[in-house]
Amino acid sequence: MLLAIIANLVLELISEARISAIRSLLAVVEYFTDLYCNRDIKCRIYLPSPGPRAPRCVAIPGCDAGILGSLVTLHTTIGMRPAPQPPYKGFSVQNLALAIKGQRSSADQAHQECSIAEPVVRQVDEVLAQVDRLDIWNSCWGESAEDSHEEEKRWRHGTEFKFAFLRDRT
Amino acid sequence: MNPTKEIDPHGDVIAILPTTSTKFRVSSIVLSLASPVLRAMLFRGGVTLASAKALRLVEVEFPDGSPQALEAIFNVLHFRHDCVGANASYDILYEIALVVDKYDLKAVRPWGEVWLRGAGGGGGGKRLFATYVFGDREGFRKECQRAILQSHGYDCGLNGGSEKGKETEVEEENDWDSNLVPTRVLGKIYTSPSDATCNYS
Repeated sequence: MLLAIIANLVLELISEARISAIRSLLAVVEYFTDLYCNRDIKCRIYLPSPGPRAPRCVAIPGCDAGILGSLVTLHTTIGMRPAPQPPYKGFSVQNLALAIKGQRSSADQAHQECSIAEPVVRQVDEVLAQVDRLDIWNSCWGESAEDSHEEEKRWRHGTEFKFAFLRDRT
Repeated sequence: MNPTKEIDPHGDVIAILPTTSTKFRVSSIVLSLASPVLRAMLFRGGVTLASAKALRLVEVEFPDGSPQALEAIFNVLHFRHDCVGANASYDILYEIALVVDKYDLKAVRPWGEVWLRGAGGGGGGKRLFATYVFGDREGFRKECQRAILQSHGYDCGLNGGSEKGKETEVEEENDWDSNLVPTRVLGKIYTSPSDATCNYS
């Protein structure tokens, strides 16, 4: 019976961590999309002014549009249209991270200073690092559980309610 | 007809697997030393079941064990280490883990490390289950991470059979969901050691 409790608890923790990671990855895409939906021009390339009365430099709005377009395409590629809901069936953290990190726009070549590839990859890697730091064994049994029978007893007692809840669902 | 495999030629217990014709001759003393659950099954009032019933051999059913898993475990417990293979498939490893957990066979744990190493990567939920049973904390952590990264969220563990086949046709062979501990496993582990003991009381 104890193993059944553990199995349910572990599966529940894995499921929660997976959903949380996918939510974070989707939030990365949403963050950059929102950023480029904003009217402020993000392009960092400035052209020489065409005449003495014109402003000294102008950015290229088409650059922002290109990046926004690539983000909208990414929405479709990874299945964000329509917005998916938890538990995100059909999504895997690994595939989603790869797809987001593989996102490319015209700015990557023409306007390298404007490319969002690097910050996107950095944020995706941070989500993956959080998964890597996760220790479900610790979450279930605590650091000293292996050596402490009392710890195991406390854990057993503490999960009884949760187990009852899970058992009712099955 | 399968002859009885003599793990211990002088053993006093015939282990029967109701779903197969396989039988094993084993020692009640060895089994009772290795497992408190088996001790409760095989001893009555301080004497072996065979002695208590004035029989030379007593037959005991192992309803959930697979032949390969039980043979490996009996060989380990009877010090027949040369008869134990270091490479076990995930299916066998998982069946071994089920028996180890059910009968609280801590004496088999050192072999768990060997089998887990021999089984290589992959294995999904079956490997996760085995790493837990054999106390491989680092392996357990890695399998949990693999599950988080690779699972497609199809519900295999809590609410019934895998939904994966209904929604996706092609997945990787070692995709985590396809190896997730399914409900039938949970069903098996719901059969507690005390239930097993009751069969022989």
